[in-house]
Amino acid sequence: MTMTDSTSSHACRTFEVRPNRSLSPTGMLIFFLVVTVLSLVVALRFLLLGVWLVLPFTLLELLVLGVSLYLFERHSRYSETLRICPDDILFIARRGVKILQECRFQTHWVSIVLQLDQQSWYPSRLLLQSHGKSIEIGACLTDEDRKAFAATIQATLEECRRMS
Amino acid sequence: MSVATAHDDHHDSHDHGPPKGWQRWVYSTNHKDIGTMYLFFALFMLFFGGAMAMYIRAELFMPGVQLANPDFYNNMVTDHALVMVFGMVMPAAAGMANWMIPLMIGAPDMALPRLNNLSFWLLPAAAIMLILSILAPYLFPGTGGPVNTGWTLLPPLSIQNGIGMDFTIFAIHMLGISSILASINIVTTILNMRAPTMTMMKMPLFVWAWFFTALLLIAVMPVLAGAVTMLLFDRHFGTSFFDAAGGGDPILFQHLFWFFGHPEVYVLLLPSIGVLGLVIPTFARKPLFGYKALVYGMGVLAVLGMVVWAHHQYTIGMSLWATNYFMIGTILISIPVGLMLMNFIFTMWRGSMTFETPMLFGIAIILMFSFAGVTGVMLAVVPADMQYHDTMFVVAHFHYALIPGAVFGLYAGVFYWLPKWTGHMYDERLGKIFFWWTTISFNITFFPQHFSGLAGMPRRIVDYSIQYTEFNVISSIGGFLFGLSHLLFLYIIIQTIRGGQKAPDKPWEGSQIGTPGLEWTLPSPPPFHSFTQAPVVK
Repeated sequence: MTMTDSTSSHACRTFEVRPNRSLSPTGMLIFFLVVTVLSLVVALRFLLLGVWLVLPFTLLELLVLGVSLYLFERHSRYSETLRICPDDILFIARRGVKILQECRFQTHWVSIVLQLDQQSWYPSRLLLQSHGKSIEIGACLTDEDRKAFAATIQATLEECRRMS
Repeated sequence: MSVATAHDDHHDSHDHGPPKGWQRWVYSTNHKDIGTMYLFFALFMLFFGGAMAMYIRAELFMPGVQLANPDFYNNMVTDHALVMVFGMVMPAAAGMANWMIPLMIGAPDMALPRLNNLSFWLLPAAAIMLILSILAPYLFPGTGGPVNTGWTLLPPLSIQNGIGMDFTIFAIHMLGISSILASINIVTTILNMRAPTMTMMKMPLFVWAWFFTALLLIAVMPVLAGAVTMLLFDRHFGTSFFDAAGGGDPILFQHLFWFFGHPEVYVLLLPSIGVLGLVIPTFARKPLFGYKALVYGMGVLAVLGMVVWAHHQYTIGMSLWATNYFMIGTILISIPVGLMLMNFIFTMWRGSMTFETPMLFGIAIILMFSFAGVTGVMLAVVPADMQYHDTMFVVAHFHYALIPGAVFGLYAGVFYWLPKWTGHMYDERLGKIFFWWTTISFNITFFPQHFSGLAGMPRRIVDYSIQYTEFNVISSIGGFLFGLSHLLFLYIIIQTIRGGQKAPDKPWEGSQIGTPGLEWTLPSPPPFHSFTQAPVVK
């Protein structure tokens, strides 16, 4: 849920959106290792007493914990890059270095749609639309951030259109 | 050109909305829905386990066997404990964690929502298994009597029990898996999903309490799982882990059980201490005294709680060295507990206090849990424990620890957050009546048990000597009143859900003092998806 904005060249602006994560991958690894060592100390002590069945359950639990943390870390590597130039708009969704989605729009024809839910039960959706093609951006932002993001994109688009 | 704003009335047209009707609950991945289900499940189990307690008190009303056979009595004692510990207190605390932790730390949901769904739905399956364990002797005649071991499931009795014990073991496995998955989810959420600038040392005490609770569960649950699986092997696969006739050691099971069982006490207590850390500052209108000391105190409590298990087993004949170690370790626990209680008292000191229902429960917890602490130190001393072991004194002690320490903490939490959850204020007059009713009847029930226990009345026995009659009559009358008070609790909850005075975003004047978390920035009730405004931590 973080959004960064940088001017990549004189005419273009680049926005980067990524989910908020309060623990670094290193921190997560350290946490997992600490839990693993403590759990294994308990399980191995019982193993030495002949209670070998504690160890499989401990390993199973550590596996679930490890997989959960890994999946979460993998998800946190997701990022969206939106580059708005006078001629075109480039959208790239990545997980780490792997590109998941890449779209290009013409700046003049693109429209921004912010879909709101009347009861506020569901999050809003921010869509880039052009020529029947529609992509959702900023899904990992909070609603307030998403509204601010939409306003910023709109202002940038207007500026780019004036320049072209 | 401007940004087009479209109001979407058709939620099902995209993938953000949950299914309608029953599917919303069965397939739910929303932390508030799952929290609500946990809380209702715990409420159901409260009445289920409470009905067993009513039976126990009715049976003990007079000496002699009154209502059913001794095996059934022991079955009720066993399942009352299992239901209350695993089916009521833990799910209720998990429900509060599900509801409040994401709101407090500014997360849109739990880290692993589908796992959250699985954690909850394992509980009803486990509850069915527990009910089957009670019904097994009647559903499957000739497969043995009811489970009559007590919640400790001690061999050799648990090896000799009927098919009901197998259902109990499977129920414990499912409850354990549910607890572990919930713990992993909570730890992952707390570590990873805090709002920017919500550092660990800015987290509300309830979040910290659950962080330690989850770590404790992760550490000790595999031991219980291993122990009951070995029990299952002894019962059906010819092993002799705990069977002395085959070279096994029944005392080993006691060590395994209590290695889990004693930290479990702190699993039940810590969430309530977390609630207390919100309620006391809110109604004293003063910031929490010694926040950091409380956090470290909870950490020390969790660690000490894991290394003193054998104080439940002084009478088994341990070495002098081991007995001394466990005695000193147990007495040391009074230091972090005392520190916590003193911090809450100092928070109230010269505060601008008001006495709404959650605060009344908070003060009652401090007074009555301190009392349990005093009897706890008595029980920690080996020569004294030799006298008190397996008497009603122990029953009185742990009910004073667990009802004020855990259950009253949950009641305080329910009344504290009910306006936030439902969007309505509860009836304060009824809330106060409920408080006084439960507190007085609780003391009538359990205070006399100290005396009957000191006089030598054993626990877990259906009949008793005639000299204990007066204590038991008083205790049973108190028990029935205590049970009856919960109908009022149910009425207050239903009444609040159905309507009442509209609750503001901050229903309590001192809300933001009590919890510097982010839940008060949201409307009451919060929207289905939290944080329509960006959370800001001050």
